[in-house]
Amino acid sequence: MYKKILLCIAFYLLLANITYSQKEELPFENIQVGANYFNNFNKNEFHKYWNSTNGAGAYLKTPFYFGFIKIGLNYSDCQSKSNEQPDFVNLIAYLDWGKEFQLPLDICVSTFFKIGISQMDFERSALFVHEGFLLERELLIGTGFIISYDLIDRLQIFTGLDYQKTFTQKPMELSFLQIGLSYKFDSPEWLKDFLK
Amino acid sequence: MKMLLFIVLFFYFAELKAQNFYNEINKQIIYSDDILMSGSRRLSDVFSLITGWNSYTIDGFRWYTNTSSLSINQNQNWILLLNGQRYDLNLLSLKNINSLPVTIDQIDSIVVISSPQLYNGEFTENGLISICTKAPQEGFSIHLGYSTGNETGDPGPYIYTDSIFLNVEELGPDHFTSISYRGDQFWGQLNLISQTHSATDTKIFIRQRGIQWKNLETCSFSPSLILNLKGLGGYHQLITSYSTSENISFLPRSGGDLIFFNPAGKEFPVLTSNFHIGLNGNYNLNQDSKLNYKLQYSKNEIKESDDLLTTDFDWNNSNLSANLEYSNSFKSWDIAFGSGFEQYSLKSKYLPSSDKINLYKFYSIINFFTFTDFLLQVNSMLVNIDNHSSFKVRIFSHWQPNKDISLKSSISYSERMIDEDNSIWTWSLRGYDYLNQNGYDYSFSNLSQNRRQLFADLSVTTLIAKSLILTSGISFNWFNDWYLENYQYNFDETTFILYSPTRIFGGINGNSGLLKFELSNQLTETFHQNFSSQFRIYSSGSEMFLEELLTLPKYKISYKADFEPFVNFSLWTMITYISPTEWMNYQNIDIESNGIYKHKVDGLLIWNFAVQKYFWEKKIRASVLFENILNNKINYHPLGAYFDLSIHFKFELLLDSIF
Repeated sequence: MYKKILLCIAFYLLLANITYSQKEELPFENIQVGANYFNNFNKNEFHKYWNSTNGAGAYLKTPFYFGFIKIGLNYSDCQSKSNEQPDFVNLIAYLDWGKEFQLPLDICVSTFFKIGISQMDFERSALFVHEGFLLERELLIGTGFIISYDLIDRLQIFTGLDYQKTFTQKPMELSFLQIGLSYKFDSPEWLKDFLK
Repeated sequence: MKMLLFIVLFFYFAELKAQNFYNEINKQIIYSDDILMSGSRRLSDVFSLITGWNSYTIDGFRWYTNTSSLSINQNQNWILLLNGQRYDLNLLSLKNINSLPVTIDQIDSIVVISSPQLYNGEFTENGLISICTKAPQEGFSIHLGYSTGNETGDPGPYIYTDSIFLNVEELGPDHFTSISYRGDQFWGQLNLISQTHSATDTKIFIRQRGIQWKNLETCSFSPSLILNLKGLGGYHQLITSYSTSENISFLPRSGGDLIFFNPAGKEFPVLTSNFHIGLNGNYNLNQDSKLNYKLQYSKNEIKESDDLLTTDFDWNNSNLSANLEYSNSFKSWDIAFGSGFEQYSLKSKYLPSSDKINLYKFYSIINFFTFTDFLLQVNSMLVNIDNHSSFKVRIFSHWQPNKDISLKSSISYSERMIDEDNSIWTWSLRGYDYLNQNGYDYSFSNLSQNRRQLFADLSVTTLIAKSLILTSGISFNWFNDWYLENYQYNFDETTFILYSPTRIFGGINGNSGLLKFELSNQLTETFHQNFSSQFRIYSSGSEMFLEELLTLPKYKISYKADFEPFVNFSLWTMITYISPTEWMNYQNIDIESNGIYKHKVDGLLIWNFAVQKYFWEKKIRASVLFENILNNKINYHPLGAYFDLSIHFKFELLLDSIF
């Protein structure tokens, strides 16, 4: 269901992009620092064995070619539902590439595509944990949207949906509702030169 | 229908430019920018960019390749050149290009030749790949690189739920350091390269009884030094390198290599090394004539891994070669004469006494420019070993009646002695007794002194629109008195071991024909696309010849595009389809292995996508490559790993002209 909602939102944003004048920012013109809290809300085979309830993250975002890029880290704790599976910490390093759409009333909506690496660090105290599988890393991709609102000049509050698929042999598909704060500042000249 | 639509669109968007219009027949040049934009990490990644060759891998690190006309499975006799020096990376049937001591980023261009011809003192009857590196920037420079990758399909947390297969998962990390200095007349470059790879796919792991996981991990280290001097009447270059998989104390992993050995139907963990030292260059006699020279020595060694109950090939193969060529340009013709000497030798406990093969070669190249729009070239070479000779000749013509069309034709005839191969079969015939002493049943039958081949190629290049070039060609290949390895593998379901007697049959005859098309289009200044295809349209000959052809794809189609929308930022994509192959040597194993191994390899649809970005005034380069975006189960060989969607990262720090 939520995938259909995401699709509808993407379509709406496409229309908004056509009908509403968008402000174009130069690549690396500014940097946004943000922190987010997220909660996993979907259920699938993964949730037969683990609870992935909530987590937190931090990111940096800047205008890029055809939109923006965002790099960040998300941390979450996956608790095992039985003694037969270990708990694990899921640390995700990601890069989002997306497009922002400015709407009336200081509201901004953005959609993005995500790639990242999910690092799963298994609880070492569990007796059945294999020595060769204490740490696993796997590619993930994702998509989602964010709605943000300018609280004051450079400070924003945002919320959104984030869908991630980790390419383990049985893919881990997790969807998150997130909320957070971000602060935007102009990039120093030396940093702009470096990034360009 | 879709293909037709695609071609129509391709033509519709055509615009300008006539690059590559004057290329030699069946010669492809891949430039540095193409390689970097493709996100290639290792030298073997370049094989996917070569349109006229086929390649396969079993474990993802060691690749086997050959021109489309020749079997990959039977030999790796194609020639590898680095800055004009021949690199003999011959480890039994493996020629691992990743052992070459240069990195992707140091490559200036790669010339790939598929038609037999004389090139740099070598007759390319089995194809040639020539890599030229970039000269460093003036002054003192340092380049540092790091790359790594990950193949998807790991068990993840599900390893703790139920039975899960393992896969090849670690595609690195690789590191390189390059320190160089360039003055007015001289430059020198020191390279240090380390590479790691895990061949731990289930299909490989299960046939390695008694072998630990860590022994399937490769760790190699390759230092090299390149010195160049412009002076003393010409240009002179010294290259020395040592590539090894033996333990190096400062590397993160213990060393190791894998050699896939056909008679055993499996790979063995071993320690390998390659040493090379070579001097080449030229001396200008006057404005029109010069002397080209080459002197080089290489040694390939396979040693038993200390901590393993594995096989001991005891293979210490060296090659000493020297070549001298005189060339002169006249008003309407050029001429070059050359002669060379090569000495192959093998030291092994399986050989009663150290043995040597002395090879002498004499060759000539004549170019006629009698008419302004017509070139005729005649190459010939005579090779002599122990009073036996082989003869190689090629006639090439290039006619360009107007600026929009060019016709090229090439016909070559060549003979080759088994001693020229310097292979395990060369040495087995001379007494290398590894196979007998290790319980392998093998035999030779009906081998002749020389095997012969005749290749005829015709190619037409047309400038259809300002920037749209169509090249179409047809090749006919005739093989006579060839020898082929033949196996009939069976699978033991209790030990998971394959076994087969090895039979080397001579007297194999056959013919095949290939049709090739290539469209190249520079749509805008920043967008370039290329479509290439090849089809095997004809084959005939003995049963074994036809069975061997089945291991090669009948057709291969690829589309490639690169786009640089902004300075320092590029996007690249390539979609390739390779038709199914069938490996009759493995036809018994489908049922015997309960479907773990299959002798038919499905067609491969591979879609790759790469992004490249420079930072800090081109001092930092980063690239990401998504390989096999469609996440198909890519498999090249009946015993080979399945390769899933993979991601590759590469970061480089390029500090040029520091002082």
